[in-house]
Amino acid sequence: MQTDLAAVGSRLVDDMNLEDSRPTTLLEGDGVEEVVSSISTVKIESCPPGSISRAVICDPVGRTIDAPYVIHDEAGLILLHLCSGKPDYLSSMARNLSKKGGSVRDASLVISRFFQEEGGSDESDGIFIREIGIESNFRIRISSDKGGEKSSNPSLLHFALAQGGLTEHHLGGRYLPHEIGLSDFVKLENGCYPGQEIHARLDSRNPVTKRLVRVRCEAALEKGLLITDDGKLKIFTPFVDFFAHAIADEGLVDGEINHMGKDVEISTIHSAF
Amino acid sequence: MGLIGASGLGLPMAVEVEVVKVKIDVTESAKLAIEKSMSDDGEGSVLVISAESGGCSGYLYDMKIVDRPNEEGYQSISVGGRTIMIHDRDSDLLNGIVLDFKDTLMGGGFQITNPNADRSCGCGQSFG
Repeated sequence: MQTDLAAVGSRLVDDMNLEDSRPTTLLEGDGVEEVVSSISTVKIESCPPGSISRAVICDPVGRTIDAPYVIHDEAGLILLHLCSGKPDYLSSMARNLSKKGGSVRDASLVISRFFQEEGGSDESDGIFIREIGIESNFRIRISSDKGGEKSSNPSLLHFALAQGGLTEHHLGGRYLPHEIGLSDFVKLENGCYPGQEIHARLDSRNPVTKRLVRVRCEAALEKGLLITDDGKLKIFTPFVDFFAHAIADEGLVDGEINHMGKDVEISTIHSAF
Repeated sequence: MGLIGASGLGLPMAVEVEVVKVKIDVTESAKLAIEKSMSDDGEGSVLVISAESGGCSGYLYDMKIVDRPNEEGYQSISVGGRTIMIHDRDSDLLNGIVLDFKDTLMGGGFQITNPNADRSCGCGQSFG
């Protein structure tokens, strides 16, 4: 679906509390950090309530399934999933925790996730996760309030997610974490986790040189379209006119390049939402 | 005050686990190794074998010599003069395993062959 960028952008400003409908989970019980760490590419340390960590969950061949933000709460660990449905790996966590009296619960009804305009609310209300967007003018916020507005237009939420970084397209075992802006969260010292053998081989023998970038261009973008003549930039997820995610090869730096007389703006997604 | 209050949470995620009566095979070398490992432990000590989430393939074997757990939900298996215990939650994953012991300098120690595993990692400690 093609949507006018300017129109969507202005509507985002109007929708200051755009609710993110993706699932949220609470892990309760002793050793929840260890349970998450056991399947994550990065160790989740015990932190004071309100702290934010990041987990990346991969399949056994190292491809990314989910990259949830992890909120440390008095009740346990809150996982803000990036995938639209409940991920399967929760079952093994639930099995583990249930042996020690802990549990995995759906927290979607008591935790709301919003895309919120920067400076648009009292900062003491909820937790701000990070800024998103090409212009960095929106923030991810979670709160126990039910003050969010559900968008009647699914493309609006999709666009907000796309500005932030990861969407459903990038998950589900399609890409290595290194390819989608999550290489900082792959820590081999965490030990054995699903996909670790693949990541270790990549680390020692064949480092990933491609990276996920956002692209803005004044020309229409199509999937698979090679922007540069040398093939170092390849569009794979066009979201709206003039805006897309792309894979950039080694040697292509952030900034503006000229493509067929049009300016193309490239920016790396470092810690994608 | 945390973000999550006392009410409104969904029910705990149901873990669909088929509880089965666990049968395991323990080789003679493994029996000797268990006896040797537990020789300094009292009669109240047991060997607990479990499957934890993690490892390269999704689940990771764990073996611990501990005091007999008080909680319900464990199955006991007598091996020689010792007791092996497996939690009901792990029964479907560990039923039918063969516990062996290899006395080699590299890659030695307890080894588990699991007929329920679709895959296992190179070190043999993880399965899925």
